[in-house]
Amino acid sequence: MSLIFLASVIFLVVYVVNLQNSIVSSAALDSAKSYSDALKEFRTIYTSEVVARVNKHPDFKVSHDYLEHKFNIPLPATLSMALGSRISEQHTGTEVHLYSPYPFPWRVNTGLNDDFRRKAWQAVTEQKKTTYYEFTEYKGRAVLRFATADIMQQNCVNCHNNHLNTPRTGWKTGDVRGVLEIIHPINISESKTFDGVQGIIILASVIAGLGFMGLLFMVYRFNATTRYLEDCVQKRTQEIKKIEKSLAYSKKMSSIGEVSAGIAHEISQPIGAIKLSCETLNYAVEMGAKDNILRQTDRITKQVDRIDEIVKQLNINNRLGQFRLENLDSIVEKSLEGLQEQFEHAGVTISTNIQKPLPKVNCDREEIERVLTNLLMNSLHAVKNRQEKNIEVKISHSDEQFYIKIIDSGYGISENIVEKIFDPFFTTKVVGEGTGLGLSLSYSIIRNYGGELTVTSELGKGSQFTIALPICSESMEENISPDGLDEIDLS
Amino acid sequence: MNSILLVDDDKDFRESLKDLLEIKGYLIYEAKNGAEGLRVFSRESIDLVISDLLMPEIDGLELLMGIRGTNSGTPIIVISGGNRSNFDKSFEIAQELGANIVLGKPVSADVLFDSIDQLLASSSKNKI
Repeated sequence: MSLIFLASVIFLVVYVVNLQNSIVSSAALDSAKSYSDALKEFRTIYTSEVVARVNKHPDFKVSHDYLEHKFNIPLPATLSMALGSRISEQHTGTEVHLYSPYPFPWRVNTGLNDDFRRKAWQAVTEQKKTTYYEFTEYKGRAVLRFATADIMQQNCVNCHNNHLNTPRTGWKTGDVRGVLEIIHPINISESKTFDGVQGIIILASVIAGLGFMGLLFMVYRFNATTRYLEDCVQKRTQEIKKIEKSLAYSKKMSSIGEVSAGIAHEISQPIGAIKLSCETLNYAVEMGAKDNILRQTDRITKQVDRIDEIVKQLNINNRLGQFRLENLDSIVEKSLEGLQEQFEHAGVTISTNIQKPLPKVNCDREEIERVLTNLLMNSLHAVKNRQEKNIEVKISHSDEQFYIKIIDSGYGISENIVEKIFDPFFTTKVVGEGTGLGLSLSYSIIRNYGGELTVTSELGKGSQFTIALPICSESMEENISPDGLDEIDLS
Repeated sequence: MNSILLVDDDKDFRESLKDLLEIKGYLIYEAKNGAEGLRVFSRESIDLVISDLLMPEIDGLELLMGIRGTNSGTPIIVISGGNRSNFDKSFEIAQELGANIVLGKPVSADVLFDSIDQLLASSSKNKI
């Protein structure tokens, strides 16, 4: 903005200076032209009204040396030159010259003795121009040299052709006899315009100065405001970052805390049972109650198995699976087969709806089977006490993903439970029926494949779990060896 | 013979505890959640209640409120692995709701017997 303002001020100054030069030039030209016109008019009148009359009288003569003879009057050109000299005395620096290539012998400095004079003569004769001028330097100062053609008048022809000392004869009316030049110093015109222009420049400078100061003030205020806002934004950003860090840390610690508390609770149940069984065992041994001893050892074994199961579930995420291109429908069938007996026992009707042909999926078969088993077991628990015990497994696919949907006719899941359903150790089942890790681990496994496990539910109607898995691209297939033993990290 | 009501959704723990207490000669009633516990408590003559906290349907805290709501002074021992997200806080709440003694799992037989003896002795004094 400052640059624009500065450029505008410079433009204004340049414009005013140019305007001043233009006014000065115009004023100088006007002045010189008026000067020239006045001299010409005077000479014309003098020639026609004075010289013509005097020439008719035998006692009077018209000559250049009229001062030396009592009854002589000056030649028109001589009088014009004298008048010019007189005016020059009053207007400092202005000069009047009358010259031609044919000067009378008594004339001094009236030939074409400089470059301008030659150009002026050429302009008014060969180029038939009436005026010719140049802004130039003359005697060390800037001047306007303004030349006009000095035309031979009818009253002058006779004298110029018949004069004893004429440098040339054969003059006709209308011939260019010479050049009348006015040398007009520019400073005279300049001084006329300078005051006005100076006023304009001073006014413009004052306005420009005030404007510039105003602009500087605005820029200063703008910068100060910008700095203030930047500081505020920076401070707020730092505060937000601190809060974000703090929140992330709290969330992490909270998550770790919840998982730890979950593990502690799950393990404490069988450990508590084992401890009691051991102490009961002591009493039973003291009393020799064999049945009780066997019962306690069975319980201890059962509880150890329970702990073992929890530990296995916790370790599932750390196992390194073998990835192969697998048929998804066969994995689903295998999972359903494994639960067939339980479904039949509970009286559950299973239906499948598979969009064939299915592209292959690059996966660890056991992991996907585990996920499907978890979800199917979940559905089994959801429908086992319902009148209608239906579970439907749907498999479809788009260009990029598989969709496995497990839809049950259970009670549905309330919103507050849906929010926590994939949290570790979250369970609504009675203790011993579920570790609360099944859905959490299934969620983890599917996320590791770059997929999604989601649930939608409607109370009283049932739930739908959807697994979305990315389809193995051709480039991925190329990277898998024919025996399918390469491991691919999909995380 | 003193009667004890065991309320715990963990069948294995409940049965282990029942075996231990039966050796000491107590008459044991069992319930797998708070709702069933309240039903047994109102139906039978119970001298002492031992309950878990975290259970489906009606949990241990609601059971405590249910029993104390009847103005019953029956001693109650809470044995729990604690609430999953806030172990200590749930024990505090249990005491505020009227639990006489709170014990964390795994519980030692000696501590449990001492607690039972102490509460039953105090309870019989009050009855006299």
